[in-house]
Amino acid sequence: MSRSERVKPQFGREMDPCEYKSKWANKLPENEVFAIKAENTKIKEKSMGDR
Amino acid sequence: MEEFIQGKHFSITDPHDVNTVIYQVNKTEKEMAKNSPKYTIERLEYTEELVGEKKKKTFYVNEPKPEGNKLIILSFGKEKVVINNGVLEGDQVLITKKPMPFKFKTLYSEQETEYRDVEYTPNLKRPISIIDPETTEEVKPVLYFDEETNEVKGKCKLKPYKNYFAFEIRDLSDESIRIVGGNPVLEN
Repeated sequence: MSRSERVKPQFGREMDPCEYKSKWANKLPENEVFAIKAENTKIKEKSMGDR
Repeated sequence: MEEFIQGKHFSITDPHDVNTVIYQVNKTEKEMAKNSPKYTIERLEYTEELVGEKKKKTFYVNEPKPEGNKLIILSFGKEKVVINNGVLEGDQVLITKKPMPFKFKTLYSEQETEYRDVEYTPNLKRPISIIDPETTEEVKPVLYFDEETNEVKGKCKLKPYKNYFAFEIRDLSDESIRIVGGNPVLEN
């Protein structure tokens, strides 16, 4: 039988949640970050003349 | 054929038993902030290909911003999730070298389990995201108004004795981010 329950634990001190606090990667010194190359996403589309 | 440029993409490689998902974080405009969440998150779409035993995932950012796109990176393993952040800036994604692991509570049962409706009172200013670590799919709550308590409540289905990861953004600025996460665990 289905019944409603409280989510346990909820967020709160007593539930021992994890806390992630960090500066954004672009605000950190170079030696504390690594970089991945990002490329343009190209979408091929038929030109109007081909339609 | 003409080629159009729409956004940026980047690739990461997941080991065999790791599944990474990435969210873009958007701060709500001040004019909208009064009755809306302060921040919204949007999961990046990705494509996947197998390279040996590893998975190469390519993530797509559709609208690169001049000030950079802030990203939350969650890598789910069997027993933990590793939390990290990154920023797409121009032609690169900067990622910190100090991710934080969060170990799930070990709750295992041989018992047959069923999904249960779970009620909670969401904070509409700080939406909570609940993820099933096995599939990395989000468990979407249905919001409704409880006339008895005069509150907006959320209802979603969770399975007892199963790990989930829930998180919310507590603070966000141009300098830093603070996320609080945890295991919502249903015990019989």
